[in-house]
Amino acid sequence: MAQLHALIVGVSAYPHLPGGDGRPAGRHYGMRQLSASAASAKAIHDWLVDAGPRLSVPLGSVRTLLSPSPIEVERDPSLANARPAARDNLIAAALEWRDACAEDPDNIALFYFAGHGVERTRSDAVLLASDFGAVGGNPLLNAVDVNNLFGGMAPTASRPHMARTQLWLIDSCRVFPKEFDNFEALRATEVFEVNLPDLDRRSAPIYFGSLPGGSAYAVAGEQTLFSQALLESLNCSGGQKLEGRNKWVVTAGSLQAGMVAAVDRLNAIHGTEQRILGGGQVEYPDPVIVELANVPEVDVSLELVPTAGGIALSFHDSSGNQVLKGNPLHPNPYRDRWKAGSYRLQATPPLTSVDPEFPVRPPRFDWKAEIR
Amino acid sequence: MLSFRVPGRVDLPVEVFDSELRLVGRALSSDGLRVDPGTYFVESRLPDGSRLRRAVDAGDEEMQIVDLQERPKGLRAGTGVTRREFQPGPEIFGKALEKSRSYRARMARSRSTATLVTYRLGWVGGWQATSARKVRIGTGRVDVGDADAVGLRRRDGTTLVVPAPGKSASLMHFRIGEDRDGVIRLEAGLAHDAADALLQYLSVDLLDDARLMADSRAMAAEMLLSRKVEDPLAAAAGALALLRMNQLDRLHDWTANLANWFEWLPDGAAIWAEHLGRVGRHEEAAGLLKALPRRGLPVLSFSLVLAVNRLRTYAARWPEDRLLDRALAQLTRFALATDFSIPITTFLGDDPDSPEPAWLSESPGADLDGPEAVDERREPTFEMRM
Repeated sequence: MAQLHALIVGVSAYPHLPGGDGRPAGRHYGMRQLSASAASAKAIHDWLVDAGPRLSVPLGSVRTLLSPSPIEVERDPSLANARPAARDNLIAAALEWRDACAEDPDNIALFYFAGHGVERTRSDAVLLASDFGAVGGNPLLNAVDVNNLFGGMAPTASRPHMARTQLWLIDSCRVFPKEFDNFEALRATEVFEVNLPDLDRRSAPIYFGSLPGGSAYAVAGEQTLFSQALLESLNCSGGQKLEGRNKWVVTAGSLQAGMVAAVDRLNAIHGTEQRILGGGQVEYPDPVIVELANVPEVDVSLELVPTAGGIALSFHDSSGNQVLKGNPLHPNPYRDRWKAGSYRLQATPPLTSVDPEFPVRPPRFDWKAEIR
Repeated sequence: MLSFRVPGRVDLPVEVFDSELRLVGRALSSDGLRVDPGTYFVESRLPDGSRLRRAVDAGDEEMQIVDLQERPKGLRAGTGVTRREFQPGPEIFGKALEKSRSYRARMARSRSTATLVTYRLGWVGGWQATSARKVRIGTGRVDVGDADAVGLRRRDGTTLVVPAPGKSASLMHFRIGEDRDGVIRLEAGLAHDAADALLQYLSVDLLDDARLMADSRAMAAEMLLSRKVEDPLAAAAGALALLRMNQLDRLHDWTANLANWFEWLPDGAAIWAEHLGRVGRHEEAAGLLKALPRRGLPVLSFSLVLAVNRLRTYAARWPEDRLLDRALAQLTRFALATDFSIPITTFLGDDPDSPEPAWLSESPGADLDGPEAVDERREPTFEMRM
């Protein structure tokens, strides 16, 4: 029976970087401690467990490695009980995870990493394990690269039943430290042996939490913006009703659209420049990840430009309940969250040639109008 | 039957929803969609995040036109508000993009200038700057002649470079723009409107829309098995879309044709190599990629991503092959300096052969001050096997 198998890694504490409690690394490449990656990974773990029967396939296993910061442990002492996200643990967990995913092509594989990362391309980065900098020599010894992980999860002759649906969620910075001399020649640790597939028909999108050269943001000691956007999308903004179906679901494609909308809202709140960038490959039709628990709420932005008096406006949901009235709107733009559905605009005196009905559906609804 | 009228020159993807917001179907604006009588919402998503939107009561008529460009007389419904960045080439979507108009107006008012440099690759190798002239942003498209690369030297001393090998420059358009932070940038796009739109949808990961664009007649015309392909860059864009959506069955052998008929276009080799790799013909793919640096830097950043990622896999698989290592190192130099949010390869560098990765000046992982959280969590199990 198909199942979802997840590998979740959250690294906030890097003992060998400045501020850590380990032997300082010979070179730290300008990187320092993080404060929210472990808690973010834990939040993803919890969501998977809580989603239960709403997942498109049952949850089969969750392997979670965490290296929390002191502030995270202070908030949630249980974080200290997890296996640390050191390189050897990461390799061991990844090998187990791959074996589980390879049991059924209808399985879903989910990989989430939060921590330090170093850019390479739109769909590749090097991810730093918690013991990064523990030894000298190759600086990327305690680091793994997404390309190797992704390649190692392809269906091959030795693993013909590898999960065809895979979600790769990389929640890390992708800045390039100038201290990485001759970076292009460096090799990160290979987690998987490189077996080349005969045919790669996976639906395997990769979502990055920043552009190459870009920063990823977090609320200190709480959660990264990427993970907040991810959960928002899985719970709400990624929802859609597929052709001929009445349930609200999140698919691999709508997941990203929902994350982008969520991160836009978070950026507006925090004044940040968090981005979501996609890579990998996605087969059509889009695989379903989860069914929403409720009708989703949608970020709504309504703006009247310019505001003109003499016309009374009101907005009503599909049951006729008034949800908003006024001209001008207060405030303008007016922002709120409305349940997904069709809404109607009523104007007094009536406006001719007006589209009175409009759909409010995820990821968000933006409406800007001039009144003549 | 609903038919759709959209602004601009390009066939746009359209989605139709019923009153319960269930997806009824997707189509290109030129194709139309057959629906039962009822109330529907018709939307078209543009790459900048804005939407064209109309409600329609469909009857029994044979054909009913849904006008996504006409503005009602009394209340003019807009198309939504800003996304984070605005990609070049807005005019192909017509006047529905209000941000396009305000963007162009802002550019027209700007007095910022930069130096546009064109380069040619010499017979014995080495790049030569063939022209350098001051350009003001907002002046519209700039002529780059038959340059092999185009650079924009900014006042802060940085230079943006776009490769344009062979006949690429004639298949692209260039303009000087400015992002919302006032940073001048070199905006390149494809002259083929549909392919340019397709790339924009791909770059913001609107894959459902990209899939429909790849099916458009305009794209199909470029992807035929014919030597009359007039725009191989457009064909390359179509191939990249199909690879991204793993529609390998539709590629047939014309990725090989693209690589062989247009040797001056590095993207052809990168795309063919990726196609070969996806179907298990790895040694052939590796051979193509080893030779890629000699062809030049791919024009489309998606091609560069595919090439670098696959080279990395092969270099690990065949560590004794120094040519794979060398090709990987050569292309990675440029990848580290490339802005992959832009569909056309654009990198920072002193000249076309000297990419400069964006340097880190501060530690990454910027944290924000957040409110104290009330956090009551269950005792977790960190490894669960069910």
